[in-house]
Amino acid sequence: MPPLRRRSSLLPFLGLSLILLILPSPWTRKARLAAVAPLGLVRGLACATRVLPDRVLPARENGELRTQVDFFKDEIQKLKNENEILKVKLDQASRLAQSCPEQHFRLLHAGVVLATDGSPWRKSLTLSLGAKGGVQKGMLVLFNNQLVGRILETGPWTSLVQLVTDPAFRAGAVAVPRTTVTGPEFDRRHVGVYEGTAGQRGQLKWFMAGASIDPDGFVLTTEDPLNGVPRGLLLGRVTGIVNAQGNSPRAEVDPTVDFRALESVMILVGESR
Amino acid sequence: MSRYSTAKLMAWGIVALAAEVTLLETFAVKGARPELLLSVACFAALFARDSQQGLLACWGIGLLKDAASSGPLGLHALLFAVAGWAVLQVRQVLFRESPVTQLAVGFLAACWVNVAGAIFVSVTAGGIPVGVIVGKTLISALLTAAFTPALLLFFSRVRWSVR
Repeated sequence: MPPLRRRSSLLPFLGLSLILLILPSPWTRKARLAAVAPLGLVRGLACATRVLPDRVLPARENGELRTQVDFFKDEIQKLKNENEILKVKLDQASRLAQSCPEQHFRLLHAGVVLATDGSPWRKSLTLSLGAKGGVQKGMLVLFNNQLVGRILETGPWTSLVQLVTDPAFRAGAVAVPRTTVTGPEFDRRHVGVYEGTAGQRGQLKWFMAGASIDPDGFVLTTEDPLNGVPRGLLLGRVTGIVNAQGNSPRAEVDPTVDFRALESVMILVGESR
Repeated sequence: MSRYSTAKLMAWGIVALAAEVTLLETFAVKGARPELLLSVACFAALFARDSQQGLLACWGIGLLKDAASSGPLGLHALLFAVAGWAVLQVRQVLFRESPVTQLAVGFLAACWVNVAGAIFVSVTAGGIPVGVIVGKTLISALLTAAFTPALLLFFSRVRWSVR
């Protein structure tokens, strides 16, 4: 006898989904952040497998001496790695200090657990530093002087970053020429709004139609004390201008960093915090 | 292949999610990547014992995708459930063992999920340019369509892993 074919209605699933959709995102985000954090292990595992053959299949000859040599090689490698990390931190801090000389910040260093978002239309990163490490909602995340995004949610040990390419990201911004002798000049009349597009780039909108934008120029943040945004952080490079002669021109902005390839970032902690 | 265990398929969903947000990111073309979870949901709808099981599996797999998203919980659960429901309505007239059918189902399901998701995000978070929506949807749908028959072939060859 064939199995009994039950007809099922879509309505209960629609109802459940709508209830979940109505719930404010922050209510569920902490739990989701905690649930997704172990996926970072997969990324770590993929990196670990690159060095696995050397570890699993050591040479048999001169066992004791070889073990000692390996131990010292490991120690040297460990020190080299530590040195590299410190160099990167110093480099990032000094580049930031160059971009925003008049600002005073503290920087937190965080590793990237997951460099992507589950949804194709949202852009986020998961970091390995959370509320217990001093991270708070709204803090800015940087790589060198490139603005990576803003902390959207914090768990105890992890935090979620809304990238600058996320469609919900917005910031006051200004386009500056590629090279200037005295550093970037901020013309208040040319300030616009930068927003993400869910693609690989963002766009600068709502600037004056007459504003001259260098096609190879850069887009930098303008000061926004309310949201803790200092001026001069890099949002990206101008790659094209759409509707240049019209009433609503838009500059396409390409971030200078591939966010998917990031392994570590800096979190900006303002003095007032 | 006519039956599967919903719990086992959900476990495969977790594996697919891990692969999607880590390994498959390297296959991304212009920011669009294959929707492996949607391929699993297509399998769930095509080879469900009955509608109840198919809808439940699709909804659960969508919820898994929502877990790794910074958007609202329930969006992908809703979209996957609707896609699964549509497949369940027409599967009587489909030759589901054919790779061409699987490819077409994967392509259409990816188009629906991407376009509806983009419209929702545009309305609730911020406008996404039409060019980005069209480009990413088409590339993602093609990649998903390519992965779907391969995944379904894997499930049919390794039946014990889903039964």
